[in-house]
Amino acid sequence: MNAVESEQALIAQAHYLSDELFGARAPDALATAYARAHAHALGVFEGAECGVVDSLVRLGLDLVAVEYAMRIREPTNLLTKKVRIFVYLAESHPDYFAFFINDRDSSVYRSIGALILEMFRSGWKALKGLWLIWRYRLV
Amino acid sequence: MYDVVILGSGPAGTAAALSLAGKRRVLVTDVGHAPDATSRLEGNFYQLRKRNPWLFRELIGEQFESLHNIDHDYLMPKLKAPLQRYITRVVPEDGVVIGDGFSAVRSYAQGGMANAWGAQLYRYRAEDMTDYPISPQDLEPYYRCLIDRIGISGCDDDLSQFYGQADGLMPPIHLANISKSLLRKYENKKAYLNSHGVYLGRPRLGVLSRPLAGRKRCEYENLEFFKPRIESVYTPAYTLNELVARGDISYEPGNLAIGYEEDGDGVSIQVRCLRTNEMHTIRCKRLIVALGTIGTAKLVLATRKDTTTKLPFVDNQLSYIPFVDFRHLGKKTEQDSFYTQLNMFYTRDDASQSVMGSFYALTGIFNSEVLFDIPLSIASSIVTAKHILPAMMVLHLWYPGAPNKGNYIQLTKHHDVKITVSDTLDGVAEKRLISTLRCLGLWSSFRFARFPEMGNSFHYAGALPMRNQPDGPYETDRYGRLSGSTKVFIVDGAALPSISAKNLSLTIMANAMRIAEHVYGTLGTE
Repeated sequence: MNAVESEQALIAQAHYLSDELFGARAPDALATAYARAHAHALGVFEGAECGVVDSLVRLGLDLVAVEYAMRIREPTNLLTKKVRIFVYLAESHPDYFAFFINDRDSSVYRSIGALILEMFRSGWKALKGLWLIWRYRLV
Repeated sequence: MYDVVILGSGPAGTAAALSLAGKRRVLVTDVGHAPDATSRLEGNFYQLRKRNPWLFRELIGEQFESLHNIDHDYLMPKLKAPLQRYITRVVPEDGVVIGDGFSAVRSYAQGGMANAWGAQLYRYRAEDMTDYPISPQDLEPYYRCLIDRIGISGCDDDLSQFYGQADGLMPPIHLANISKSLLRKYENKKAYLNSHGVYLGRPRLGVLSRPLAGRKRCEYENLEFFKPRIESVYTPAYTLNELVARGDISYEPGNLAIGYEEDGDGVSIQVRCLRTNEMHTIRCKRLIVALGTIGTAKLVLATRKDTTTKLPFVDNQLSYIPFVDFRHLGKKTEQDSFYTQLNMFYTRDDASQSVMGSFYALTGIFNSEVLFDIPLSIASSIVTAKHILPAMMVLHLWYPGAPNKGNYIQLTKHHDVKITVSDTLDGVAEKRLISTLRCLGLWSSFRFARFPEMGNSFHYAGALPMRNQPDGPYETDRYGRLSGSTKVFIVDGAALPSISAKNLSLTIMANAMRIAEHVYGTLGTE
């Protein structure tokens, strides 16, 4: 049986996700779309899973770290699905275009450097996420 | 009473209609879902996304169709796009397809699954038709007619030995920069690659590189995944609409065929009108069935009330391998492109038939389709994708399909269809190609190779195969005439005994034209 999250809670989640992932508040239309998407894009999930997301929003925890750690443990967890919904919506929205598309060439070496940096960053996020999950008993 | 009724408006049905157009009283009928006529998708996919207003309806969908894969069974990007969902919209009245090791995709749309095809169109050659009762020469006049009508772009290159002659082709469409450099590198490494059974070249596509018959040439807008009925990409619906507009045929959508009955004078077809849910009967002298292999097999079995016979079922097995060309890391996203880039043939020493590969660029889709497959945090994946996706291509490998006792289709007692198949891919070709293609600067690992469940090729065939001497009630003669019948003809993939790794669409269409011409001959002075 699906737990019911209120529209206000989902809109608040959208703004939190946008801030964590892109450093800016989500446009209102996008936040509303994120809330509406849940009825269509998600199958059945348990109420306890919503608690993780509520905790993240309430405590202002590192979303990227927690989601990554949860995805490593269980790829189909609810938080990952919610992030997927938001990222998909964001990518389709004009305000986020530059985050997803390269409009100019950069050198191969700069790209390799960026990839290596992101690998280390991800490693750190994974460790941080596992610690946050343990520290705040998120699962 | 019609002279000929054609069930189905996909490639086979439309090609059959083309053969008969203006000669006899012809009705084409099917469910015929059509796309929504209104769309704001005019222009380049990337330019449209940069500008307001947000194209929510076209890119996401009022029912959030584009988010389908997040928590439901996988649908390929082209089929889940909001304006393309009409292609696979189900018809509950027709039951379901139960797959045992098989993911069925069916279309009830006007134009059929061709509305979502990659438009790859090839002749079959003698080695592709060894178990057919006809030869390529039997199909050649119809191939030529279709090539001229459709407008196929391509060229004479190393793949001509697999595709057949290159006459009648338009110039090939433009390649993305990554493909141009790949082709240049292939020319330098050709001797080595050919010695390892690998040949590279351009695909032959039903995509116009110059205007034809009022249709515009390709403008490389990268909308193939989101916009229905792009003018430069051929779909049989164009021919269907043209024939209807000229008054050469009649077309009646909204009908679900349930069964048929032959008598001395003709055939009575029972159809359910989906709008009113009422049954009615259509009479004709000859019936041509072109509902796609699953639909055709079901109609024949249901007509005969047969829930025990297992008909053979043939499919192209498929695998995907993502490759990275590191020389293209960090390059600007190729915004003016078409997603089908290059083709490849690979012949293993221990195989009699080749495997065909198609290289696709990752343009025209959202990065979000692959972001969560990158084994990094989401923030890192978003950054990484900007650098790496312009350097990536995905190789789809298509395997030939031959009858196999373990692969069959049958009707269930509840009037559903069940398809049982067994996957036989061993990954050997994938491993060898990953190793061999390194000399072109393409890098991958077998752990990234994917083997989707059978059915994902959408290339189904074999259920009612053509034979010189049909044996049993579920085979057809060389003109597609169903055993035990005098007036019912099968013209779609169901009539093909086996299928090559090459796309089968042009061969289905040519064969349908050939059979329809024969059907016209049987009408004589009737």
